[in-house]
Amino acid sequence: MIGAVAAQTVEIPDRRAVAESRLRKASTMTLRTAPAALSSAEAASLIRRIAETQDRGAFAALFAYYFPRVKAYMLRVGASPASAEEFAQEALLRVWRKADSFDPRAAAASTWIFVIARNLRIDRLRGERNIDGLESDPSEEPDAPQSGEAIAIMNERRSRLHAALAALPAEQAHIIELFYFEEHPHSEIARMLGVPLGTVKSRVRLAVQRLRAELEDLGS
Amino acid sequence: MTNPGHAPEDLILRHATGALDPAFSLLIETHLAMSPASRRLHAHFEALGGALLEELAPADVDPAAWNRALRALDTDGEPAVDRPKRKAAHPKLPEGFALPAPLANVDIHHWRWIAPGVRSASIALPEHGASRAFLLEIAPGMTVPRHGHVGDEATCVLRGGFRDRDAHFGPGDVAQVDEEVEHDIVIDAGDPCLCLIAMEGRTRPSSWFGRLYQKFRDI
Repeated sequence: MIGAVAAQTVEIPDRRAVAESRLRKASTMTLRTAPAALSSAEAASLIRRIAETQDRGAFAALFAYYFPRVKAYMLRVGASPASAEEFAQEALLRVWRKADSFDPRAAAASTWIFVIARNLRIDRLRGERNIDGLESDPSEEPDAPQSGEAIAIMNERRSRLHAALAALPAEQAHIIELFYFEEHPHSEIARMLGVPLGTVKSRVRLAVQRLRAELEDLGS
Repeated sequence: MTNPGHAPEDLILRHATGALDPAFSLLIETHLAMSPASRRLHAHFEALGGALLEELAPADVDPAAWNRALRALDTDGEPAVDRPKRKAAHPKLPEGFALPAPLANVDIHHWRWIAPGVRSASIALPEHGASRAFLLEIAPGMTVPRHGHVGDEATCVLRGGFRDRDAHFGPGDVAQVDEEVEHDIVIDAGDPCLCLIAMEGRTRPSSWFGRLYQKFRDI
């Protein structure tokens, strides 16, 4: 019993330690393995606790899982290590501040955090938008799902996405990945495939159309 | 109402990954506002970004990061109050026509005469990018010379429509130029065709707009 109580009181550091050891094990990124750590439902419940009670324990768990990944994302898209650290910090603070705008029916927690990180990077690259208060940020307000069916699909989306990617030929899956994480995807793809830049566009279109077909098969 | 064959999947993907500059972002956001099917695709692409984010090998982090975050929470003031939004400036638009929301929120300059039956209005983007965006309105029934070229250019139809060889483009459809073929665009009869165009670089003679301008200027 004492052990259980102790485990209870150190729950947060424990969570972090577990998450971090898992993180260390994941040495290379691959499109084909399922993500290891935080489930969509767990992440969504952490965000809800932040929104409802400003629960710092919930934020710590979310931070432990997402901070190193958001920093990795910033590094992959070309930020310096110092900027990546700062952008990741700011992205996670946005998660804290905007927690009450998270709608688990509209998007998975991972999607919501990706969009926050992406938009933060765009803002920084462009030198902060919204200066005259003109531009709203519609991309952080996902469309409400159309039906109960859509909500069910949302819950399964992560595995479906992986299935869609897995169904692509390796070359096409790699092209898609480069789009998310390379600063100059077109020239990377040209180098990877050994084709001239002019040819890249049609290869990209092919990969994207194929992915669309896979996603829509899964979504129907 | 958009034609599924005319969804710019690659631009929608690049928007979802955050790679588009302001002009092309505006064009895609306008297209998304007009096309539920493309909104679904865009949501898929964002979800894919989330899934990929989770799979990234986590970066080494500064051990002080969490304490810094805690300090930031402590000093975090009240959320900033939204500044009242001023109304964006727009040129005169057809009676009963409302711009899609993404366009309604940006300043658009006055119409500028280009040629008989053709006018354009440039769009004030929040900051300078490599590309620019403008509205182009062409009178119904006109035939417009168009020349394929290398370099990004995309056109989103807002009102009216046109025929480009065998394909017809109506409201919400996006036409991309990627072929080295010279051909004509035929504007539909009825309403003038109002388009949003995003174009890489400054006006070049090979672009649709540039060719138009040059052709009419030479008359």
